[in-house]
Amino acid sequence: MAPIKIDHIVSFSSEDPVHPANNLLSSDTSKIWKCQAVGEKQAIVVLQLEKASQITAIDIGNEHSAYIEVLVSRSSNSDDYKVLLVTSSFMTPLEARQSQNVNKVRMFTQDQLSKPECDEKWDRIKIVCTQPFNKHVQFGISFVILHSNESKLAAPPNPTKIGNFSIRPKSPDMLSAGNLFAKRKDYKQNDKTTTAAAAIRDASSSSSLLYESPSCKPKLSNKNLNSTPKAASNNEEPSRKDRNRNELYYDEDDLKGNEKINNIMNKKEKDVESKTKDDEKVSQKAKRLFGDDDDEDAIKKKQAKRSNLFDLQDSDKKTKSPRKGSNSPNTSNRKKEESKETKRKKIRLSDNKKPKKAKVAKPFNKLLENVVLVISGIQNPDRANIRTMALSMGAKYKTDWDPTCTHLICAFPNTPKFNQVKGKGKIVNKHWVENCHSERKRLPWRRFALDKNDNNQSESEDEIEELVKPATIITPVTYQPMNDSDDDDHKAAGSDTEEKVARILEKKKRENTKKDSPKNAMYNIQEASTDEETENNLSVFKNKRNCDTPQSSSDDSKITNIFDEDTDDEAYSATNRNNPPPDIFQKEKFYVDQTFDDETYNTLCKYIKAYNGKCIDDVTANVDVIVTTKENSSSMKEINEKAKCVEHKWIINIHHKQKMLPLNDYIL
Amino acid sequence: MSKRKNPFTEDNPNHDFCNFLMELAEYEKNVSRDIHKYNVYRKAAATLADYPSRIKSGTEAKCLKGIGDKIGKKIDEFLATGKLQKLENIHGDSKNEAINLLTRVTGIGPAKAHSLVKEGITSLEELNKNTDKLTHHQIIGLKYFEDFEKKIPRQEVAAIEKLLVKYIKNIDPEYKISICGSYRRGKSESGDIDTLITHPSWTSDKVDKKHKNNMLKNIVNVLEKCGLITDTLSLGETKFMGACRLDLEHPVRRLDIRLTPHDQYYCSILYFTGSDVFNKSMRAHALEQGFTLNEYTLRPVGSTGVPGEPVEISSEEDIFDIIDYPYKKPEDRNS
Repeated sequence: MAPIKIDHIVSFSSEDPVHPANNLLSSDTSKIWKCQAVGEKQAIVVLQLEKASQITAIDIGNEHSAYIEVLVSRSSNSDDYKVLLVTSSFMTPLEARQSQNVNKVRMFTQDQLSKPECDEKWDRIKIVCTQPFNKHVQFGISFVILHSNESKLAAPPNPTKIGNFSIRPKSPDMLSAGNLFAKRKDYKQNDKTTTAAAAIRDASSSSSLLYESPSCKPKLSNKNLNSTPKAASNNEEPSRKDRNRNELYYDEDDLKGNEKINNIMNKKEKDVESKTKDDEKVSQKAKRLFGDDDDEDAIKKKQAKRSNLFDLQDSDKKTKSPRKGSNSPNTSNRKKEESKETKRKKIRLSDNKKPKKAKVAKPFNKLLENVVLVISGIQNPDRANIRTMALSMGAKYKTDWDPTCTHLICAFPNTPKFNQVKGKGKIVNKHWVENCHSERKRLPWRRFALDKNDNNQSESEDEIEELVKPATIITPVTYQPMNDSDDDDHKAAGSDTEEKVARILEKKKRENTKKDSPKNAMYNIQEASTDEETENNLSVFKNKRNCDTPQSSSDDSKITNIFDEDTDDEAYSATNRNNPPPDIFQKEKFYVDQTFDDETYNTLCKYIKAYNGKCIDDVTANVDVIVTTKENSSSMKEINEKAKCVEHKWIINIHHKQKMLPLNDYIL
Repeated sequence: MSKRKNPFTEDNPNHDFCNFLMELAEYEKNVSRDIHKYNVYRKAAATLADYPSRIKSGTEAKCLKGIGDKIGKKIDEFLATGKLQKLENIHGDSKNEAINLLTRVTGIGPAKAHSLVKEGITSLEELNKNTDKLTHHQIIGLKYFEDFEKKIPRQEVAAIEKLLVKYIKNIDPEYKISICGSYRRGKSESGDIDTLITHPSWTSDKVDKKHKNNMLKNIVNVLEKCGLITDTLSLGETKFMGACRLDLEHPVRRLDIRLTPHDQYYCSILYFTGSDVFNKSMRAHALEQGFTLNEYTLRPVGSTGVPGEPVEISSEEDIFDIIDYPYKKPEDRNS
């Protein structure tokens, strides 16, 4: 959907000298139009569009009007106005009298516009505002945005920007059913893994409590990211994802980190690295990482640069293994070398894969854990829905912004909260929560960013690709000789998150019994982060690492073993992906309550059909199961006594578990 | 709505004027089938009923809203002779009398009455012999003709209300039940029982969906089983018309039950509380204020006259407030 350009203001009933009608041409939402005098009967503005267009959606920002109506006509017959949007309420009488909520924004979609007007092309728009409840104010609108779907085809895959609004690319949940289930397989596979890695993950979950601060995770992940250049890979994919990660996690502001800090950081890290794998150092470092905001900036900066260097790194990697081999004194050493390499790759990969992994590794109710969100500009029932969804995924909700908050879910820019949070937190539109919920994974927030600045960092297409692509595709063919380690990578990629890694490391660090391996892991990460920018650094590091290898070999192999265990699973999931979904419902007949909203309804039908159930439109027919809500269950039962009424969660949960669940737990 | 509305009691000083005006009104509605004249007479009668002192001349009456030259003259004539020639003529015509009589049967309107009279059916006895010409609704109306003509004392409505509330809340305590009409306006007797029911889960956006709603059918079922409802004139998804009786000692009464979407409940209550004359004046006022009010919604009127989105309403007072109309308690809405 593209915005329709407004060419000029044709006419208006009156305008305030400070807030002239021409302000509506500006994309700056702080520029508003108000009528001249208080208590005017109505305020009218007439706009000329650039060309005759079909209007498929209208967004209006209010400025103290109680009702706003939108009419359309064509300049060839400009007096004949037809109603496109019926008089719509923007303020209740009470709000109007008390001058509360004067800047409500409402977004009208095609189904809310009058027919047949919404199907025709118009070039002239008349907006009529009234404020019958308060005769002591000037009123008007703050902005109007008209959308047309005409330029849809030409629209780039990147998010389109309209003023301060970003239009999301085609919804990712438009996946075909088969696709969906194919992915499902993968999740399930990973869910099932009861590997040592999973065990560690579980064990480490308690330690996560120690790291409530939302900023700690991104920082750690940065460290991990920095290991990328060294990790060998012939595959383009992971690196491209890396680049995305940068964009996803950091504001433009963040990226403006200054070189000095950057350099200092590098130095420090190298110092730490070169000294020893001293526990104390490590913890100090960790402290610094967790505590200092500037560090974050610096790291991000570095990452941005690193991604540019990718090609270099890539070529470097190709020559890497052989070189390493020759450097190693003997084969056992080399083996260790490899395993160490593997481990590092694993960390990197797991980092890359984060959004995907998040849903895999975390239970649904923890997807958004550590997210503290505030909602702005969204009205009920949406507001409640979003809150419920977020809470169900483990987020915390606050009414007002405070320093512990991480995300602002915002309807449109320039709400008071928006301005308050701008630059301090992540501002996203509601689709972030909705899509996280519907796709059951934590999506990168930047895709849903509302802030201009955030949007400016255009997302690369890889981002989207990453979403759709199954994890196993990454398997680099060139790695065949090192098959073991490769598989390790994938396994880790499929089952871990950067947070998890962070926590595992943290946990390990504090576990004296396992002292060595965590040290090592931490150490590797740090190493990696130190030499990000140049090839020189890389080779220096490599050499150094070769020297290190003998000392750390035992630790390395230990970790490798942990990750070895999963290898088979991965292969299994790869082969299984294309299998049809199981025949769970065995042709049972379902009736889905039509009072569900369309999305839920369609999802339920999709699942039912996928698992070989039948959807039947007529509830009175021979139906086995009625999927309905608590409220409707009694009336459903009256219509069809034979069928069982169940909650829709039953279907949803079956889909997640991929197996039949006892119906009785969900019966209404 | 009860068949015969006669809101004018003996205690107002102009009730005799009101009565002959109402008779004229009924005549216009049933025989001439001129609904506008009917409304004019009713409005004049309502105005006179509100007037605190006895009208002494047609000229005095003409100062009042809704009374013009012709009604003024009729008042003069009535004052001078104690009767109206026009009414005498009407009463003298047996056809008119027959039509007026037949229209008193619920389900028989002016048109049906006309056609019946044309076929020579002019009395209830003849009607009883020709039930094949009547619908189910009209047969019930005929069956309970006497009962339905009787006014219902307030205490009886109150007793029936109690039962309704008890049985319906027993089905689902979330139901809201109110008896509107003259009962809600505090009248000592009513012509029928107008019941309005809503349920929070039943909202207007569900009305359009093909999703079947059995709430009202369930309610009627329950009320039939417990013997309160004796007959059904008609039953749809949202409206029941029928007859009820408190017990065998009491006559059968007309009972209407409407299931209203929750978001339209207050507009409906306002509408069904009436009086219809009050409703008309309130709607006219709403239009002056740029709103359109009906039994479902209150909507702002756009610049080209297209009604807008329904205004959200959470009480009857809201409606008065939004259209800037001084709030009137139900008891004060008799005209």
